[in-house]
Amino acid sequence: MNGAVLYVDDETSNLLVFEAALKKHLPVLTANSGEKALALLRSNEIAVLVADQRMPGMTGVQLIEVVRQEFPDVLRMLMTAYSDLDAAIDAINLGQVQRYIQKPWEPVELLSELTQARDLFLSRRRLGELEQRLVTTERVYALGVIAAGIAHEIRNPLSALTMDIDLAQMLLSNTPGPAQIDQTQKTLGDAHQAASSIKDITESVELSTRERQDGPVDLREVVELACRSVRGEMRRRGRIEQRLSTVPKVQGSPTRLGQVVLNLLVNALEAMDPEKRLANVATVELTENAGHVVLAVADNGPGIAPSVLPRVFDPFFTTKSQGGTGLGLAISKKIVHELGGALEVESSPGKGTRFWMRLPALGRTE
Amino acid sequence: MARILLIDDDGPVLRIMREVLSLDGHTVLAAENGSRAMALWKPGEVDLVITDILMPERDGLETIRALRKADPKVPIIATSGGGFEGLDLLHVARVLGATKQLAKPFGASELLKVVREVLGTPPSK
Repeated sequence: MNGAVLYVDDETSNLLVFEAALKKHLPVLTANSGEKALALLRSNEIAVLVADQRMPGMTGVQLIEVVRQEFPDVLRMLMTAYSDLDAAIDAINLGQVQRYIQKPWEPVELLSELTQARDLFLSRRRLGELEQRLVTTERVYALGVIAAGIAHEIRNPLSALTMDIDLAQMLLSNTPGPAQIDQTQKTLGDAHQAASSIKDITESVELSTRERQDGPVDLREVVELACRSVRGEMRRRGRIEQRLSTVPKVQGSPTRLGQVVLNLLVNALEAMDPEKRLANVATVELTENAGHVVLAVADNGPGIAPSVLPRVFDPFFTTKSQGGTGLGLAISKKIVHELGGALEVESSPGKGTRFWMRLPALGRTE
Repeated sequence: MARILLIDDDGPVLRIMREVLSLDGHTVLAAENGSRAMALWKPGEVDLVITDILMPERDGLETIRALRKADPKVPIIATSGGGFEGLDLLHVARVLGATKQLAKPFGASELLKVVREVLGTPPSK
């Protein structure tokens, strides 16, 4: 049972009353001893533990102490009669329990206490999951970037090597002679280069995180250039509407920012079906807003399904059947993030998609 | 056989591709970047262009754009400069007007197959 309230009391009648009063509103489990309570804690997700103080064998405070050590996330409450108030106060002062409940309890009050405690448990758990997800995403990211780097450095020498060996095979099928020997030597040379490239990668991955060739960039120029480069294809698929105001410069590298803009443009373009050319329009808008330069690229294509939308920035996520690696948006987001900006998306199925990039504006004097 | 303009900034790749294409009977003009390639380019004297995408100076995407302006018909094969980013760029290259894309690493036979396909010649022998 998920996020249940566990009540422990040696008197069966008390357990029945508790269960009857609360089970309509909360998931409830009961146990008539500390030992049985621990067994339930091991096999169920318990949000709140309510332990009666006076029990034969393990007392409420003793049980709570074990739970504090073994199941630190569980919220702990001690239930006592007036005569045991001292034990309850001690337990609170020692940090063993979050609350104490005095017998006889009032159902409405108890329900409100338990609901609050359970909500706290559930929101803590959700926070934990989010943090975990963040860490995982970060890791996948790093992995993607490293993999891209490795592939980048390896592909060229490997290409040469593959062709060399192909060629060597073709030549060796004739009579062996000096040409064949020469060829095998070249093959060996290329193989050596492939090996030394791997070494370079490890060094450059480290370096690339430190070195930045950033400077003030006029985003309008970058956007105009990117728009020009897709103009032909854009004409085939629809109309492009540019609304570019003069904006302050931003910090960055024109190449990397150009890559981001081109990526957004190509995405918009591919969302537009050439069959509906006359109705298609992509809007590119550059504005200044509250110390930021904002670039929005929107299309009136089919939009992105809500189930897919939260994943579009995930590395290796792609809906393109061919040609997409699923890294374009992931890399774009990383580039924008590194510059202290944000890249966001909104989409309504049937109406279109809008990406916007926000970057801090540099002072006008720069 | 065809006259091919070959562009790649990677020395060994340029050398071996040139060798493979020459052995197949083609005349190869080799350039290590887009600017050099455009200097070698003469309209009507090249039957096929094979260009890498990620290069210093004038890169492959810019070269494709310039070539398309100069000659809307000449077939262009874009090869990936590398990495996953390279693959995405290859996709962009296709959008910009490249006829075919070829992701590195590829072998000699793969290269020749694509070249024959693009030139519309049947496989020799």
